[in-house]
Amino acid sequence: MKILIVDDSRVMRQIVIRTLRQAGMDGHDVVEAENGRQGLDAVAEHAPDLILSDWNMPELTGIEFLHALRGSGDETPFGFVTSEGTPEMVTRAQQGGALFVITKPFTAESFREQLDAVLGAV
Amino acid sequence: MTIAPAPELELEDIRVVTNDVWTSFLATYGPLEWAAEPLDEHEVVRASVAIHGDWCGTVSLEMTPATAETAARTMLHIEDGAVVEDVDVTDALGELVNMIGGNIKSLLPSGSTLGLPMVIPAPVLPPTGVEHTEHYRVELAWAGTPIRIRVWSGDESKDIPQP
Repeated sequence: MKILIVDDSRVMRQIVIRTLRQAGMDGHDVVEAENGRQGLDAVAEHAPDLILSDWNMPELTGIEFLHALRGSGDETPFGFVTSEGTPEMVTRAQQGGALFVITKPFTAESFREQLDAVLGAV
Repeated sequence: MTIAPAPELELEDIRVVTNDVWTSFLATYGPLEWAAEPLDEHEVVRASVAIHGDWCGTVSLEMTPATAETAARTMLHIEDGAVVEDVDVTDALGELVNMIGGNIKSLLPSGSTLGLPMVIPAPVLPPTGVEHTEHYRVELAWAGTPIRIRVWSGDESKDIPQP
C-alpha cells in the first residue's frame, strides 16, 4: 500500500517512516509532503491508501487539508500525527473525517495500536 | 502592554512533558535528568513556540549549539563523523519545542492554539522590544549537557514597533 506522510518537519517525517517500520509496517510505499497544499497535490498524483498528517503547518494546516479532501469527495483514510492531542482537537479531527489522532511524542506501539484497525480495513 | 498572569503549571509538569519527548526520540544518546549547573547564558540556541488563548505566551527550549547538533544527529540517525546540516538542526529543535509546547498547551484550559516553532541561534536574549515575563524555568541535563525549558508570557514571533 501507499502511505502519504505530511509534515513540515523533515526530521519528523523521517521519524514517522522509521516508526512505521518499527511497528512492523515496512514494505509500504511512502510519499512525503511538507504541508497541506503539497499534500493535496500528492493525493492527486499518487492516490495514497492512507494519509498521516501533522496538524500545525504553514501554507495549509492539517485540518484544512482534511476539509479540502473531504469537500472534494476524497475518502482516503486519514489520521493526524500531532503534538496537539487535546479532546477538542480529537473531536475536530473526527468531525472533519479523520479516523484517529496519534499524539507526539509517540511510540511504535501507539502507531501499531491505531493503525492495525485502519490497515486491516484498507 | 499587559503581561498575562502565569499559567497554572508545576515545574514537574514541564519536566514530565520534556522527559516524554526525550524518552521517545533521544533516549538512545542518554537520559534526561535534573541539572546540577544551569545552562551558560552566553552560548545558547533557542527554539520557541507561541501559545495563544486565555493565556498567551511562549515555551522555549534552550541548549548549546553542540547539544542541538547532537539532538539532530540522534533524531535523524546520522552517524558520528557525518555532517549534520544547519537546516536539520533547526528542524530538529523546532520539532522538539513543538512537541513540548503542544503537550504543555494540553495542560492549559481548552481553546488555545499553537504557533509554528522558531529557532534562534545565540544570543539568548529575546529580541529588543519583546516584553516578556518568565514564569517557569526548568534546568535539565541530557547525558551531562544542559537543557533549559522556559515558559514565559510574551510572543517572540510578534514584531513590536520601537518607540
